[in-house]
Amino acid sequence: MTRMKCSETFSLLSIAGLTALAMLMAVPDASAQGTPPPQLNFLLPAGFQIPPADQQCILPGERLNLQCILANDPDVKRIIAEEAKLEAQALAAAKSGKLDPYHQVENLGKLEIFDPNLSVNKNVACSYCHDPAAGYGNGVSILSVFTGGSSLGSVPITVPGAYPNNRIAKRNPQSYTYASYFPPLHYNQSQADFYGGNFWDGRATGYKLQNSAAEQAQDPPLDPEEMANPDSACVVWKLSQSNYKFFFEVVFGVGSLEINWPSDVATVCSTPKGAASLGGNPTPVQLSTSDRTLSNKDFDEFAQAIAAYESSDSVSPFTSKFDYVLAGKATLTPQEQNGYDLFRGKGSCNTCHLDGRSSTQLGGSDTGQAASLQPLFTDTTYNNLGLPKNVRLPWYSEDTPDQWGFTGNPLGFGFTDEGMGLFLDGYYGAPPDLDWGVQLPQFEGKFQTSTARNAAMAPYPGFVKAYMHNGYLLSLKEVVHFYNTRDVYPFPVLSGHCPSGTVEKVTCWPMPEDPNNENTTIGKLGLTSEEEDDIVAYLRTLVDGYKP
Amino acid sequence: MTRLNRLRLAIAISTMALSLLFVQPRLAFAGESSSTRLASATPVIESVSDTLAFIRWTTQNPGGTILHYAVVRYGKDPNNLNLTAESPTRINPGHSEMVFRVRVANLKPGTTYYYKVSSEQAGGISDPVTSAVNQFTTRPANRMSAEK
Repeated sequence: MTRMKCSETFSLLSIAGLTALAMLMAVPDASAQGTPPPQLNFLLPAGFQIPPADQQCILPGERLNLQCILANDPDVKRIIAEEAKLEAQALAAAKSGKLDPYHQVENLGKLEIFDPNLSVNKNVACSYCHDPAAGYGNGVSILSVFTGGSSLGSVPITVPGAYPNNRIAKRNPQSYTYASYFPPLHYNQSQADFYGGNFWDGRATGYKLQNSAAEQAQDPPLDPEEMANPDSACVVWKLSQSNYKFFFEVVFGVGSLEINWPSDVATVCSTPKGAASLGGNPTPVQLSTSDRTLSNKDFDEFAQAIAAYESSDSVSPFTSKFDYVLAGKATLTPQEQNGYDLFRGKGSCNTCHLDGRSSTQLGGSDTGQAASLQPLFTDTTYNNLGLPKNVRLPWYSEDTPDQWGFTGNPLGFGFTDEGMGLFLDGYYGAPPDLDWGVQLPQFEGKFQTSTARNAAMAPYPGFVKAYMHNGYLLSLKEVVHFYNTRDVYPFPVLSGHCPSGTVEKVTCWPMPEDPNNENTTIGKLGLTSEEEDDIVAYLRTLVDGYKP
Repeated sequence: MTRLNRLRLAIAISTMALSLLFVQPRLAFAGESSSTRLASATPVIESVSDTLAFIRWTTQNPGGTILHYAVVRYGKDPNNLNLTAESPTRINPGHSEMVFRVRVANLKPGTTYYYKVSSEQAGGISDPVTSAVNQFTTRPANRMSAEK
């Protein structure tokens, strides 16, 4: 048995032991409440225990009662409290009259991001899926484990017996730290490759506002699975009703929100996107031409303010330990340094997660100067890593109409997430550059390279974070191990069906969801388990908020 | 062959050899390493199962576009490599060498395949390194695991 296999076996035993311990500890609590949870057949991530308050929310088939999670989960409560606190802070700053124009725009974006009133049912803010404490990704640990990090949208599903019992998106919410630094999506002719854009599939191109992050911010408010407003004018109407209306007009001009709203605007704007009663009308709020033009302008400015906040020091501050190392004000520990050497050498990580430094092969010496003092740790391109299908996504069960007559995923389990391929193929409507369509064969199955910055940020020890577009991987160790051994342990099976004698995510990687264009820069890196740990240690130096 | 013809042949061969000596450096100046251009890739079978194989080879960094494609042309007849498997990969400009790997899927169990490898830039421009024709044999059917 190799050193690596010994380590993996130990990890497996540790996980199994911790899981058994967690089950032993959890069951009596639940029994005391008279609602023993169903037996789980899958291993819970190491260190994770189902919160006692959530025990009653576990459904047969290893699924979650999402409404129950919404009402009971401690992370949900933490996030809602955090939202209220930050919203109050921003409102106080707005009223102080002390902000200069630069910080006014950022502060307006903050007010918008933490405002749950902007969703159709006034219950979900942007920050609900983008928790600051979790690096602006999913902040609900149990959702990482059971839904791949996908967060609940604004609309409950009340059809009796329905699973899921809340609309929920198909992907793990992508962190928006540093997203405002991504250029608008463009096809680089000399590199024959797409660069930039926002979202896992690049569909927030940024072409119109020349700002990908702003156009990203316009999507969730109108996504039927997320904030579910039926019309962009509904977002503007809600801004006009907000307690920071005055501040929007401070930033974007007096009268910006003075629109002649129709008498039924409240009714229309409380009807979720996708409701059959709307008849597919994308602009059900009846406005005059001039008011519609003003509303559209407001919606663009709403999004630009959010992008301003995302690029602010609160979200994208470049204050990780590694930033201080680049500035000569901190040094890496030996393990971190070894991890960094592997990151840009044997691990090939900085091939895509650009670190701004010259590159060396393992064993070489770093004689180069920093190429950038603000490296983004992504080249903003798109790759198919060959991730297995995450069979736990509730999205696969959203194949029947909800009480509004909306069906999120008519294909059910037959849906294949082709990433950028969906966008180029017209899943969201025609892409803005019709010439891009011819690139479809080369980009099917590809997803955006996320920044490695803040990948390790978590609200507390033991928090489980979901990684990748479908949240299949649940720790940075799993991420690095996947890159290292994807092609060492390939099995032609779905997740949950690894052959006996193997352990999924340790010595078995199920087949890729989409085998087209699978990137082979990774897959068999030859790293030892200790070297994987070193890379993880280095990734932890990329978390913002370091104090030298 | 007359003595005169032998002499002409010798002169011709010498001229060709001399011309090669002069041409060779010029090729190297064209931005390519002569060793890269002339080297032949030596692919290895990283792993093979009943239906799946990974083929790996290493060359000097070919430069060009960051996105590259590793290409395996293969078939059951060494004289007719009628199938192609391509895998995208990304070069790291800071690395002197480049590892290419191709995932060859949908193979038939218990079958010998012949193959040769090459690579190309994202725009379709071929890299100079190719290999000779090699072979591998897939495992019999119903084996779940890839042989290492």
